[in-house]
Amino acid sequence: MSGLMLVAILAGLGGLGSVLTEVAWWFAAGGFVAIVLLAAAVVRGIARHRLWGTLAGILAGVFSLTLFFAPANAILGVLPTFDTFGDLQKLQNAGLDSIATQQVPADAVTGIVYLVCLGAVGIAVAMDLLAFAVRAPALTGIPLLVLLLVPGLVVANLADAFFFVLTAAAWLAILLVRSRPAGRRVAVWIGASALVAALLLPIALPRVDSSVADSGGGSSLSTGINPIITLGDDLRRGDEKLAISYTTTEQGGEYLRLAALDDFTGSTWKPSATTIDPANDIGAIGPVPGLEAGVAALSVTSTVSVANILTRWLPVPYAPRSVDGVIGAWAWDADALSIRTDRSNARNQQYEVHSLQIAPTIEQLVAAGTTVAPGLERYLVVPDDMSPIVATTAAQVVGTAATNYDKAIALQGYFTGGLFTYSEDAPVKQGYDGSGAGVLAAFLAAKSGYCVHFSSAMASMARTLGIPARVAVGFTPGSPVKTEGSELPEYRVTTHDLHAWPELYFSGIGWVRFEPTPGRGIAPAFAPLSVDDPATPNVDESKPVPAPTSSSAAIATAAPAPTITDAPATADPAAAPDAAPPTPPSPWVFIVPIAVLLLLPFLVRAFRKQRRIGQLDAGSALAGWEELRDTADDLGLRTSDARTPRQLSADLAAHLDDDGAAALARLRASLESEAFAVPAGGALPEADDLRAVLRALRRDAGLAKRIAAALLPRSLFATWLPAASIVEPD
Amino acid sequence: MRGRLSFVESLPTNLESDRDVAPGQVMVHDEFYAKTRAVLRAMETVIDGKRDAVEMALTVLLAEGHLLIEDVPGVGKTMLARALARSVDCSVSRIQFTPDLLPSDITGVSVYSQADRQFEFKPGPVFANIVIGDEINRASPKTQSALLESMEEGQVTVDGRSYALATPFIVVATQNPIEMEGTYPLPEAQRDRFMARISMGYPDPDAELAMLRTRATKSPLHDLQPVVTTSELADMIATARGVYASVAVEQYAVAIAQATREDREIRLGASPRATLQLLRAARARAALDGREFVLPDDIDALAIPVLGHRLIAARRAGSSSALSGGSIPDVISRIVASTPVPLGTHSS
Repeated sequence: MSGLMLVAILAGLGGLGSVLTEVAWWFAAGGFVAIVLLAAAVVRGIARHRLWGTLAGILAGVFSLTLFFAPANAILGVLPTFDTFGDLQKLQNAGLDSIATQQVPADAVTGIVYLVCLGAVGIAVAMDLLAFAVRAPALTGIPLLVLLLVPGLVVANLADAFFFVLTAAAWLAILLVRSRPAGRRVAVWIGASALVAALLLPIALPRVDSSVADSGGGSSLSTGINPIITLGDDLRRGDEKLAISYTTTEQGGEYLRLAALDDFTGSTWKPSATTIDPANDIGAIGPVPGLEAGVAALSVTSTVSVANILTRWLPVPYAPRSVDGVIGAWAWDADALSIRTDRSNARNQQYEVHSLQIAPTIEQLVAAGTTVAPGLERYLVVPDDMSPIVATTAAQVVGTAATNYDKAIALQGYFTGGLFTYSEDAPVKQGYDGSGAGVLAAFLAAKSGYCVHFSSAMASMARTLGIPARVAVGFTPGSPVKTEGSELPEYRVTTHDLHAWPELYFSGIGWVRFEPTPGRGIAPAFAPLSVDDPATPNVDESKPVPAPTSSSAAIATAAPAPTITDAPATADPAAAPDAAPPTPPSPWVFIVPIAVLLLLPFLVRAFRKQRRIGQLDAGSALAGWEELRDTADDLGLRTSDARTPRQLSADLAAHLDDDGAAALARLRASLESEAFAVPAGGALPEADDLRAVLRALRRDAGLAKRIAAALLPRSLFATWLPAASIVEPD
Repeated sequence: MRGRLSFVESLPTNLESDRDVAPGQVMVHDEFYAKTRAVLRAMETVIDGKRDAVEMALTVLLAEGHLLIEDVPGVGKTMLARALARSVDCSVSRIQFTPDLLPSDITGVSVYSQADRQFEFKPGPVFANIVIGDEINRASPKTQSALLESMEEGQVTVDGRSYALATPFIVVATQNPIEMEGTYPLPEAQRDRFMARISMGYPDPDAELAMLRTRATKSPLHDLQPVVTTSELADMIATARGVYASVAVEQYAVAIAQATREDREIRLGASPRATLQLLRAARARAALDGREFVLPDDIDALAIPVLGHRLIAARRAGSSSALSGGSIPDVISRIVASTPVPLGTHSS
């Protein structure tokens, strides 16, 4: 029994394989589950009361978790102290942060492994409690269901169908082993219903990362996971929802930044800071990295009102100096100057941001040369597995450009020069959606994508050229709305204004925004798209900027145009985000559960038959008789539990040959002596007799009925047929 | 020594295993079987082609119950009763019930003895092992009660003194279902005292033809010799009583009785006494069939005879239902056909 529970949990944990990388965590969690269940089983074997077993399981779980994850402050390494719980708390926070910042599949860092193990131990204890202490083995499906739902909610596909079926099978086995005979039918059906629910729920429910806004009318943006991952989905989603409205002293609105993704060591861009330093009070934000005196920096005050969207990153203009009026524990990050929380969220918040608009002159940027200040090396790292095409293309594009600024302008021009088209769907259709190293080559070849691709491509290329670069995620300025009686226009930012852009570092100036996405956003004044820089080797001379289509003409003007965000989207059908239908899910998402559903009756029936034959071998004629009755029922012969064994024998005799009839007579006799005679023995029933009768019945029934009986056994549904009011002799 | 139940051909061999005889089972099965077959054979020389009725009569006899035979006149009710009584060598008395029959005509009277100068009890016809009550519904309720009290109590009380009746004591009563002048239908409470009610039915053409030939010269009843003595009958009754009824069978009987109480077509359901007698009759039937244990089939077969005359159909509430079963047998058949047969062996 405990073994079955172990198998069930291990299989359920296997389902997490689709959201976590590697497998070490699986063995770790499996080990903890084994320890808990073993301890519980051993103690239950010794102790008088069955609750002791569960208690032992809990203690074993706590001790082993302590030993493995936080032995430092524990007595003898296993007995947890208060400090131990502090250590575990830290580990847990680290794990939560890690989950919040990683994309799927996430790297199984220690914190995540700890959380998985903690969950597994909890599930093992819960199952043990339900199966043994409460004696309701059917309910063990609930913890298992929770376990199975986790990957199902994060990635709504059935890549883990194998683990799912395995878990379900183990659980059915638990039911069959533990249930009392009278309760088995009920148990099996509860189980089957729960399985169906578990199959359908992930399909029906919104995924965590898809930020679908149906429930409560809210949108969620990057509630936990790396914000860039959901960006494409948010853009492609048909319904445009108000995300933010703000007023600002800055003419033309502002980019509102959520986060900066500076870590490109793994498979994708992600934020490097996983912990929040609560000392970084947002009332006074630390120095702007790299900014030196002499560079023009306009002080801007913005009043931001976040609508019904969920995010743990506060949308603020770069570079924020202070934020007032925000509720909850928020903190700033020294490198990225992004503002985060791990408890609260930005939904419906209103706050005032004082920020600096850094406006270097082109001369200052050129003067920055190619020097990279020490300490910025990590902004030059690219993954080893990144395609060399990225670097060679970058080198080709910049040609002989001398300074970092010239190179950056060349890169920006390369993307916006008309060679590339904006499309939110092309990457999905052609399978290179995302910001990772693997998709860059495909993007550069297809020359079609959206902000995620442009920004990550430009940042990656800049890194290969020795320019410190990172990807920022946030919102374009949105569109102004005329508000009466107010001198400042109100800007309305929707979910379709979600954006990603590269930020490049220039010595003495700091981080500077570029805009390589064609038709989106506003190019900064120091990097105008219309500049036909002589250093730029004009990769596409035939289509010089201003951009080729009339729709993007507005972009060409260096002056900030408040309405340009929407312009290309509406004018260029190929790039229209609204026209983009959601990607249809893989057909397997439907086929697999339907196939499982269709086969479920057959499987349950086969289970039941095997179990009964086993009981028959053990001497229970009743089990054999029930099997006979159900088989006859399946084959469409009229049976009823109101028929006595003799009556049923007479009913079936017409369908049997002589051998079958003789076997049936023997079977009936052993049943009668078992059920009705003096309980003192009598002939034991023979499984062979049962098989002979069943064979004869099936032979008589014909192929069509046999197939129908196998796939849709009537006997399984007998409980629901009106005539069958079963009085269980219990 | 232990008997083999080889006479039932349909029973498979594994039922023939030797078992300890249940307590109270005083007669070995060979002997029991031989005696019952002898009685059946003897009775069938008189009653042609009515095997079911004959077996049912013998079942009630072995279950030590009272039998009510109900049918139209002339189909052999009295003949069956007399054949049953005749095949057992025991005291038999016959009472012809008439409207002017008095209770004392049944129970007996105390008469003043001149010689002894005291009252002396003259036992009535009820003091016999088998009492045949002919056309019982012709007597007044008061007289009916006199017989029916003795049926239940096993004793007669006259002038404050109780006199025990003979054992075994079995009443076989007949009645006409057709409402006729001067009949007093038996009230429910009194019908409840009979273990079973059977009806004869008309004989089929062959049996009727055979009857014409055999009865041409003399009544076959004259040739009928007793085949069982009183003590043997007592032993046979004890054997039948010792038949094992499993918990499952008991549950089945109770379930059927409960169902009659809850059925919408039945106004008065089976009494607990009916359940008791159903199981007792089932034991006797099992014994008669050569089994050492009761099967649900026994309950099925006996449900209508044992329960039929006790139930009152709801729709017939206004009319006198004493003489006719009406739709009651159909209702019972339906209940029997829909009550699940418990096959569980565990008793809890």
